[in-house]
Amino acid sequence: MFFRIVCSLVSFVSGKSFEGGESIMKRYLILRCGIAMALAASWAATGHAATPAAAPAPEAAIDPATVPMPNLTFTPDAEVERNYGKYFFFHREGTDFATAYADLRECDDYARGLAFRVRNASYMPVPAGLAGGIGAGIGGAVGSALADAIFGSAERRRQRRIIMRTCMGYKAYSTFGLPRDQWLLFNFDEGNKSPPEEVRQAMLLRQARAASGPRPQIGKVH
Amino acid sequence: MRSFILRLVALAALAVPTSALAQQPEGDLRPVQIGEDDAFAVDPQRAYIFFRSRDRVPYRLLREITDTERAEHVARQAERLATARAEYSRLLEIYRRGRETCLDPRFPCRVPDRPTAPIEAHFSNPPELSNFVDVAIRPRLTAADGWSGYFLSVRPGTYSFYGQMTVDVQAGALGVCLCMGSVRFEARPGQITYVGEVQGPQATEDAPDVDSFQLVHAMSIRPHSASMPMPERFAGLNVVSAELRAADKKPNYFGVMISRMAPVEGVLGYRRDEVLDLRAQPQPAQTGGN
Repeated sequence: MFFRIVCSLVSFVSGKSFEGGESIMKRYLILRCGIAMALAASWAATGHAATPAAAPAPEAAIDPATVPMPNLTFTPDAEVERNYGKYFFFHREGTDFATAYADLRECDDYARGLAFRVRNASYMPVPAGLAGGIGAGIGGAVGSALADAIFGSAERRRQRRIIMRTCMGYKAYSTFGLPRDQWLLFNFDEGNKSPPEEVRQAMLLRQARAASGPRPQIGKVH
Repeated sequence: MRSFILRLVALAALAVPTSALAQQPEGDLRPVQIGEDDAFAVDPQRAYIFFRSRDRVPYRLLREITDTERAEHVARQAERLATARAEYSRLLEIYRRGRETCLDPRFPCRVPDRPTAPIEAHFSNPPELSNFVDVAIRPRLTAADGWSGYFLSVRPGTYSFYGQMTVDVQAGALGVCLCMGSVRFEARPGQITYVGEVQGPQATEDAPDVDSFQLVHAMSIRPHSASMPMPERFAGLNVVSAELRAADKKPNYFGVMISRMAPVEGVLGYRRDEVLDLRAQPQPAQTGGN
């Protein structure tokens, strides 16, 4: 209900009565409200806030030579280039490994525990005999889980990509695209579940190798 | 017609009770948003914040935790954890006795469930979570020429703009936090602090989508100046211009999108992602980004 109100509210302020510039948030709200109205986004946490878990403190200095360098060479084609917005890595000239790793960890912290969740979206058909009461509850619960696994997961992956691009962009890293198969070898997304912490850190270490390695020759996005 | 109804619903939903101020007992320093229909008198125990916004979106301010409050919070959390552990010990003893009894063939019964031990992490919430102040789209103190004036009665302290966002326990969190840099200012008791004018950027793309990614600042602020309109109701009251300072990075507490405040001349700058307090040590700054 609240989300419906927020969307109505956005609709209202985006109407003729609004004469000002359009903020990022408002644009974002307007575009996302279509999905959100239907799915009624909610929050995973039951409390006041979903405090994202921060990465554990790094241990002793890591020798970059012990971290395998990802394979960043490929032959671009139209399909690969079309997906640069999804499958990318970062690089900054003159950055050492430790700095790149610290930067990636910081940005990864910002992208943890994203709030977007879908619930109360009854996409699963409920048998007529069970309509209402407990039947509706079951249908709603299953539908919510399914809707969240599909739409919520996609939205969280998208949000993670934007947050990483924003954070690393402020840090003046450039973005380079990569074929999905190669990307998957040293990246993760958090659509439906988070990777174990040790896997996460191993991936971030490899991303740091790429970010501090030789300048990539292909796939420049920004 | 549909659009009209939608807007009507929105208006109805935004009809926040404005009697909150009158109902607040003395000594209660919870924040109150004051609208044009609300009567108010300056309370010397409270601070007042006013700013104008080009965009009608919800904002969140964060009141900084003082060292004393942080120490109190830590002590309170430790006390709660100790209480939970004592309760756990009591329940564990009951469980053990019950289990022994039920495993005795002479007294067959259902073995009780083992109690769950309290986890320290559940008692270590950051104190900031109780110090956010929401600025709803309504009520507004002023509305003219596309600008909305928001007026808050709050606990005195140091405040920063945390983001253009809204949080609801049922619905979730939505919006953008200024987690990577913002501005802060003092709100002193008995004073109305006029912060200035805030607005979002003129977006050139439909959305901050990765495919059309543009690195922007989600919000900009013009510090208060004499050219900005003063609400008539402030006549005769103690109104001061906010002295803006740079506010450092903050965690993404609510799992929303992230951004930062646009640089403010002489106040806030960036060296890549490093937040520079230009009042403290003037130096050349760059905004970074691509």
